[in-house]
Amino acid sequence: MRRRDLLKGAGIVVGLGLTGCTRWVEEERSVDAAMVSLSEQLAELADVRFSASSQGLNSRALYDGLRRSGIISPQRGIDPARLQSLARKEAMIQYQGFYYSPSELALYNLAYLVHKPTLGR
Amino acid sequence: MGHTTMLVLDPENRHYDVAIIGSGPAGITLALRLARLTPFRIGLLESGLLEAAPTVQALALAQLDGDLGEAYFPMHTQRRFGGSSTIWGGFCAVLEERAFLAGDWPIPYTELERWYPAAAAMLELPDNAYRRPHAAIEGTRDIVYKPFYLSPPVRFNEKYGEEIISHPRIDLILGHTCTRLEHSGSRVRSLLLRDSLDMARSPVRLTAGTTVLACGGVGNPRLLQLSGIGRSLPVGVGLMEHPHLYAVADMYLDWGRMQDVVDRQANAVHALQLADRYCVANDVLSFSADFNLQQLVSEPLLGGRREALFTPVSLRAEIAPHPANRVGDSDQLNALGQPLSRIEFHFRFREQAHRTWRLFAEALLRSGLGRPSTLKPSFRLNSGGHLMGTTRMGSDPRQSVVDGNGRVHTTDNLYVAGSSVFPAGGASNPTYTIVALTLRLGDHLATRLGGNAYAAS
Ligand SMILES: Cc1cc2nc3c(=O)[nH]c(=O)nc-3n(C[C@H](O)[C@H](O)[C@H](O)COP(=O)(O)OP(=O)(O)OC[C@H]3O[C@@H](n4cnc5c(N)ncnc54)[C@H](O)[C@@H]3O)c2cc1C
Repeated sequence: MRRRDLLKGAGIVVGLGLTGCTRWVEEERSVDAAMVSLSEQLAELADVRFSASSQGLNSRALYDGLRRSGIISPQRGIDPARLQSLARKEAMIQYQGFYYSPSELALYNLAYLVHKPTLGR
Repeated sequence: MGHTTMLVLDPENRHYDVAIIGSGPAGITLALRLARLTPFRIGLLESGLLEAAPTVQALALAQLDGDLGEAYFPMHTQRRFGGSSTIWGGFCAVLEERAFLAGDWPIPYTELERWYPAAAAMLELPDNAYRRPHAAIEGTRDIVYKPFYLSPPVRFNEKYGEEIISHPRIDLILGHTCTRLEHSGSRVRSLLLRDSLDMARSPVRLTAGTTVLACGGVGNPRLLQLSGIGRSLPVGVGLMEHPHLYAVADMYLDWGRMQDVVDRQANAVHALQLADRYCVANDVLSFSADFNLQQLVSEPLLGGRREALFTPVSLRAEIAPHPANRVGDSDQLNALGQPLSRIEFHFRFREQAHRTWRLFAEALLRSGLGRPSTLKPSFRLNSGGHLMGTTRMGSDPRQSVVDGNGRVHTTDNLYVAGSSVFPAGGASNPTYTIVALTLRLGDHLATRLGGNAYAAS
């Protein structure tokens, strides 16, 4: 692995920051810059408002689910068009008085879980 | 008796080509239009005076059953020169096309649309009120931007009073309440008037080739009922109002997608609506969700952080005409010895509010344009002061009172102007459409009574 990629991989680990996530993040290490951008995208979305909705959820399972449904990919980051097309088929759910599509909320839950330690600093 | 008849002191036995009863926006618009287009002699009759007078105002008292608060009448039906334009708020938006697409109106939408530019001029609205009454938003066909443009607001008495009073072919007859249209066969023969202040005075009569009722959403059906005209027609049935639900939800809106759409130059209240075709496809009535531009925040939308408006939402909505919402006789009498109006009205809107908001919320969320909150579980239904649908327009006399031109089905020389002819009320305030339809009526009467020579260019 080239040094540049290694550094990026390290960046992801730092960015995702959770020891529980390390193993599945490590799997993505070979992936190039877009992965960094996914991490950055998730960091942008992370919000304490999703602490309650993400409680008891497993970040790895969320990650896998969102990947499987094409909402996130290590190569392209978050795909808003995919999120939108799924939202058209999904029943809305309510959370803290606002409507979300389930996939969207899952994404925000993942963002929160992954970046929880860095929030509020 | 100078106080009762300011300009025509004694209307007894006068004859007019056209008599217009009521001098609100509809009556004044029609008088001016006809005076500009034709050489007709026009009588503009008004129950009230130049200023509000409690005794006359009391003639608009009504007995209420239902959701309209005790203070609704007579406040919402101003009996004075200028009618309720003396107190209106000036919110204006074109009527939604939804009801036309759904076949509720007997005329095509273009028949109404072409009169909005002239109506906008009368109401001092910006050109966008007809050039761009609604705008598409990138990425969705389900929701449109449809603001309410604000008239200054034009007070018809102040803006048009001088022209009316000084016009050589318009007689303004103030302080006389029309209590009955005397008719035989399919024609109105004469109008019976009572002095609105000196009620002991004997009634007077005048005659007119054509009579137009412009007495407002309650006054129009009442005069038909009190005259025994159109007994076979659903006169007074299907009263509509616009429920207003203030600050009943919140929403975030993606400012990046809204900023080029929002008309920031105009004096307007910004609003989103479900698109007309979307309403028809989903079998839902029109409704409008106001928002403001005050607070910009950062909000996750469609998987990205966006600059978003965060705003409370107020809803203005359309309700369907319900046969139990009606204007009829009360068992109490007014000072003229006539039965007061009895008004039965229930919004029947709570369930519809939840359903429509949910559809709107879905459309908003799915387009990624914004994030709606849930609707507050309990809310107050406020009225808009918009009385519509009591002499509805249609082609079937079993279902309607006037035809596509506003003529009473049973009576050749009798027309109705105002929102009482709306068979569906949309979610937009009615006066802009009242003025547009009245201009259209003016042209129709000019052509019908005077031939093509008087048709508008
Ligand atoms: C508080 C309030 C706020 C409003 N705000 C808005 C708004 O923001 N936007 C909007 O579009 N609309 C608004 N409206 C509604 C608007 O005022 C009406 O749509 C408009 O005035 C209707 O015009 P009209 O000429 O049909 O009837 P009216 O204005 O009601 O005029 C009818 C006239 O007929 C006269 N009359 C009645 N019966 C008789 C009789 N038997 N003989 C002789 N004369 C008679 C009355 O005295 C009156 O002058 C508001 C109304 C109220 C009350």
